[in-house]
Amino acid sequence: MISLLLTIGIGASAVLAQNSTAPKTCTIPSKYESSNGTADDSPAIASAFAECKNGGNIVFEEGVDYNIFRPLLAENLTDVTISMNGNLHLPQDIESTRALILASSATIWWFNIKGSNIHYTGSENINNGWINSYGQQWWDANPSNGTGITGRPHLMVFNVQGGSIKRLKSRKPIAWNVQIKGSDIDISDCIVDAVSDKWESFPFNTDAFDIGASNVRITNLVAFNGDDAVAVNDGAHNLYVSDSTIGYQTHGTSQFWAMMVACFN
Amino acid sequence: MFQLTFPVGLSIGSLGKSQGKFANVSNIHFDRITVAGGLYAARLKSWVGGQGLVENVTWVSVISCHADIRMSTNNLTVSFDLSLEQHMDMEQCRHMTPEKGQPSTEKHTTNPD
Repeated sequence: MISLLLTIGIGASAVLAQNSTAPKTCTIPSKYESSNGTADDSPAIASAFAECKNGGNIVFEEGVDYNIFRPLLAENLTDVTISMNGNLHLPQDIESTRALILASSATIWWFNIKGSNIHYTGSENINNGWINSYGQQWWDANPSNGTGITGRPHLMVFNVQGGSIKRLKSRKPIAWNVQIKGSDIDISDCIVDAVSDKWESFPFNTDAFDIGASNVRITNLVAFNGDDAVAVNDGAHNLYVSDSTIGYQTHGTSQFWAMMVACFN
Repeated sequence: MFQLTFPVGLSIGSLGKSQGKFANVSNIHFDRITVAGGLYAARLKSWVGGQGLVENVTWVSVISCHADIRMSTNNLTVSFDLSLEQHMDMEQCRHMTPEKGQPSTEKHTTNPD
């Protein structure tokens, strides 16, 4: 009897040990639909990044909407995959976001992703995996003869030692999109759509990728924006950018979309 | 008003904004890029009084549509103006996909040092 109990005990601890090393999946719940798009999912998103920061899979569910009303601080990540299958929505209230940015003396990125071996992968469905920043109203608010209003956040800093960004899709970014730091990063099939509905509302500073990293490859980028598609900054070494389409479609969004569809078919 | 803030494509910099810091960029290669609109396809931007080194930068097979495609520098003590001429007519632009574009055979490498 004692030996039987012992065997069961050893078996149980073996199972526990196995579970603790298996990849963990953190699927993020959304309150978007139940709240008619008003609830903030930032706390749930932050929790998932904290819970799965070591060897985890962080999953935004396919086609699900998420509000991310607060910046995400996800540092010290190791061996993490981020599956961006949902659609994210930044705040549509400019003034509270501006207040947050202006209160900080440092640059604010909405997504702070830092660590080693980090892989961000967007949905294969062209309709999903978008980060919607609602930049149009920010562009509309450009002061006359100015180059963008004060208090604009940057979208993302991706500071990793080893990793990838695949199918990141940014719609109407407020300003700067993704800053790349670290090394050994593969960036592919990304879309930045910073096309303004109005000629007089120019999307200032909507750089797609700012590179300050080593050993970076960018392929199949589609960037229609109001600043650099790729800006090579101090500390950029061994950067290869190829097979990309960049520019700005000044004849309306329909032609832009026709071109995007052509690029991806 | 918008002339200086059009999309400028593939840019080195801007570099040297912090004058006390030595900016360093090396081994940058752009290949098979289609530029649909925008002011410049390729550009190197630096600040007056800045210091640094940019070495081994290559733009190859850059196709322009709408854009006045050329490389320009901004506030550089050493200036250069290379042309990557590959204009397409408007009709081609309307029906352009990356696959249809004919890559330029021109290649320019800059070694400012």
